[in-house]
Amino acid sequence: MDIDRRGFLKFSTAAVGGMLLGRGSQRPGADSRAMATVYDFFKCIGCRSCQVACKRWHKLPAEPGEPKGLYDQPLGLSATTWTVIELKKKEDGWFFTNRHCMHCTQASCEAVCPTGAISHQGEIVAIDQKWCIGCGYCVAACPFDVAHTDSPVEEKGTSRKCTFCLDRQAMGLIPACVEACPVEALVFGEREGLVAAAKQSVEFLRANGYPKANLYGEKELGGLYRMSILPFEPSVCGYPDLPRFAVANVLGQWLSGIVTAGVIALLPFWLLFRRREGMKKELSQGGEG
Amino acid sequence: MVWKWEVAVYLWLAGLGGGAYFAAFLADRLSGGKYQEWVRFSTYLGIPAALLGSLLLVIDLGQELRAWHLFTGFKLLSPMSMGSWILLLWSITGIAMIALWFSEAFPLEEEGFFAGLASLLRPLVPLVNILGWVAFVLAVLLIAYTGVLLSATNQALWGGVLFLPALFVASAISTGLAALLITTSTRIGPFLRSLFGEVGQIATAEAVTKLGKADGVVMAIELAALGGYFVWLGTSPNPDATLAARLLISGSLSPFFWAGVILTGLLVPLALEFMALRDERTATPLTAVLSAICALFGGLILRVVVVFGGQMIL
Repeated sequence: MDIDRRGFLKFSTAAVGGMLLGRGSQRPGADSRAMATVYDFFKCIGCRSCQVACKRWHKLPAEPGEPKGLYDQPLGLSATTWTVIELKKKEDGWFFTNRHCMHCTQASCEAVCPTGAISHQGEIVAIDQKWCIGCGYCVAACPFDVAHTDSPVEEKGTSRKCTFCLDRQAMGLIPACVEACPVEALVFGEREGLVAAAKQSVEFLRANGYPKANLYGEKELGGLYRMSILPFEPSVCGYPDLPRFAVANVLGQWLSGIVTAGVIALLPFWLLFRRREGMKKELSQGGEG
Repeated sequence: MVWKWEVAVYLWLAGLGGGAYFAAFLADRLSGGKYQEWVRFSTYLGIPAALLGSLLLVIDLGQELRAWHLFTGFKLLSPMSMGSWILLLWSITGIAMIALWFSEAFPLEEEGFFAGLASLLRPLVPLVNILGWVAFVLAVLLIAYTGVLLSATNQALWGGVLFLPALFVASAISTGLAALLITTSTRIGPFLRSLFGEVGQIATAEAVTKLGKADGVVMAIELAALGGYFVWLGTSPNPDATLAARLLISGSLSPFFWAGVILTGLLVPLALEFMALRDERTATPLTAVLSAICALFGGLILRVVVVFGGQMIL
């Protein structure tokens, strides 16, 4: 492979930065040629085929429970439910959303993972279940509440979430949820093409009764690889309006703690305990202690 | 809820250990070596506290036997990775200091395994001075880390809140001072002196009063940091941050917050300290110990409400 001087400098800076800041934590932006998905609420009929296909392919157990008045079951994501369709109610109607790992370019889970068990495999944010210690930091750091450590099955206690069907993709298959969708509410393809098509859909929706329709994930956190066409503002649909990279201001946080320690060192310690002149004389006369 | 009482107690213990060493080392160095025994007390108490806390943290892991994976690499961006290393290095430094103090105090004429070990370590005793500074830097990082760990997340009560590390640092030093006050004002101090060998003079009542005054000022700083913390949450563009603040102020955690953190942990010790100052007298041991117990309890409840409250609003 030929590499020029600028390329070498870029590569080495990225490599050193990666070592210092955590492998792959600071990624420049989403790869437009990488594979991604888009979920379209307007096409979704809420059949939950995606949920069932995910459970079947990954051999995830069922989660019995009460539906609590809605037809949602399971009610949310867990270590054994990696994709879920949620029925959202509004005063003037209802709509569906699809919850799963968003496979962020700037993945908070990957950045905070203390052991490096979470890493980007291309566009996919993957967890090495054999290396994960189950500390739960990714659970606290994820802006979408995706990772969970409550698995009662294999690799008990480790963090688990949607794998974007890494194994299927390696075999040339599309993700199980996408394959199962009967109405093409979930589509899979190159990110660039998907974004272009999704923007057209958003324009159509905005002109036809959904003025707040938007494509969620195009720019958020450097670009998500699993995007959604939403009918309303993200917060109305259960997504954060401004998802935050958990370690975005970690240096400031360290400084906040260190500066506070410095202030306390001066006030009260320096004021109360510093050696005074009279004491210095006493010490010089051999009165130490 | 992924982080439970073990994490809250761990954050309290690590803060207490690091805070006690921070306070004792500064008092000793600023005064020209007058409080060497405080440095030793804080190490004797702080290292076991931090190790006990680490044990709780390991118990809390989903895969306890894989805890060693934490030490297979550095990740500067991950506060948990950095914190694990800081805790490990701080514990090793503290244990090395205790070993060197032990070798210094061990009677030369004795024989046996410990005498042999002591004679082997004795030439290294001058290193204690350098190790003391290393432990001080690590103690600052340790107490800061307990707050950074929570703020580098996306939970409404913790995520990105710059005042959280400040609050936890002030609280850690306050609880550390409280532990020192209890040690110096009760029989724990003389017991530790008899156990590990004596050094310097026993702290005078005046010195203990200074500790109490220092704790009073630190608690006032903690109160200010707490105020800043709530202002930050209240003015955050994230609506969940306001909900999270309400959870502590008027929600299900409010009894613990008001009675445990504010009243018992801050106002009662501050009032006791203020009364002692007003009367222009040195604090009685009973007042000092009572105030310190309240501060320790308040520090624990602060960790509990922040750790649990942070996971109650998603």
